[in-house]
Order: sequence, then C-alpha cells, then structure tokens
Amino acid sequence: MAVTIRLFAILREAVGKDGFDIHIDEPVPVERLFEQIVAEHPALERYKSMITFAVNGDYATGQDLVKDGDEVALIPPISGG
Amino acid sequence: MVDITRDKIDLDRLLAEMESPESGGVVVFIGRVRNHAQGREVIRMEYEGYEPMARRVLQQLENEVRERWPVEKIAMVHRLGILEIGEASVVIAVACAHRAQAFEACRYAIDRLKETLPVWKKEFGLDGASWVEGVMPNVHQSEEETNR
Repeated sequence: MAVTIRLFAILREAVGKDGFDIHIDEPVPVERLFEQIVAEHPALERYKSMITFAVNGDYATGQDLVKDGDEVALIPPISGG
Repeated sequence: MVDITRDKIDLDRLLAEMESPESGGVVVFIGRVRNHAQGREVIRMEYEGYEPMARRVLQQLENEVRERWPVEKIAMVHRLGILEIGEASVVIAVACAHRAQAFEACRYAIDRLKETLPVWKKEFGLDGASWVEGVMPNVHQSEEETNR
C-alpha cells in the first residue's frame, strides 16, 4: 500500500523535492504516518509544530486515518492573499 | 465562480460576472503586491499553491458565504506565479441587493481566504528572497460537515 506525500513552500525546499510516495502496511493515523515520514526525511522534524495536514484536499487532524492511495499534504503556515 | 490562475486576473471579466438586475451593490476587494514589508523593500513576489485543494477551499468558502448572506453573484480568484509590484494577487467581488450585505460578505470572504487557502508567498527583496511568515490554517467545520 502506498500513500503520496505532497510538500510545499519551506517544506518543499527543506526536503529538496515536492513530494514522494511512502509505503504503509495498513491504514494509519496521520500523526503516525508523520513519524514515518520524519524517519525517512529528518529535515522535516524541526517543522513539526507548524505543520497542518490535509488528506485528499481536506484539512485533517492527526487522528484521521490514511489509507492506500490517499494523498497527504504537509501544509506549512499559509500566506495567500 | 472561483478560480486559481497563473494568468493576470481579468477584472473586466470578473465585473461582467457581477451582472445581475437584483443587485444594488457590488463590492470588489483587490489584493495587490506592495513594494515594502516590515520596513524592507520588496521587488516582486512569488506565489505557490496546492492547486486542487485551493480550488476546493475557495468553492467551500463560496458555499459558506452564500449560506450566510443573500449573495446574488460572487467571484473569487487567486493568482499564482511571479507577480510584480502593483499586480493583483487576489480579487473578490460580491453582488448583493444591498450594499451592507455586499461589504460584509466580501470582508468575510477575504478574511477567511487568508485563514484557509493553501497558498504561500515568497518575498523577493534587494538582499534575497524569503518565505513570508504565514498563519496556521484556522480550520472550523461548517455545519454541513458537522452534520455529515
């Protein structure tokens, strides 16, 4: 099972790419998925407190479940307008 | 209507969208790139967005505004890419029967857009470029979502 991770702005620059796929064995809560992401990309660790998650284009909480085929975005503080 | 675009925002087209014989007032907010920020000179701005989600957030915001005010017409467009000083990054136009409703609805729309739209801007100054310090998205559930 795979999940697509999307990175934007400062997070995209910290990792050096705008996304990647990550393998999961079963549906997992977003916050647990994030631990797995940080293990693979330690550069993201320091941004943890400023990240909001979105799953398939909707803002999500850390408890929301992520399953095969989902797109999870790591949203740093926003500055549109 | 809502849109995320990389092209210059067409104000004439947006105003044409506001045509409505029932509307006595049209309020338009134009957000533009300013030549200074926190005492530093800004020479241009680059906007990045999570496009599919940004469209979705704008559409949800349009629905929310329509539930709260008797809006005849509403248009919200945000631009992405590199913008020069004075260019419009965001335009919101609202047409209502009465001006007070149009002012309130437009003010709410731009305030919520800034709290929820997944868009980021990078400021280019004489001494380099940096991401503008943003805000954590202020996500509140609409009644529709709560009832689902």
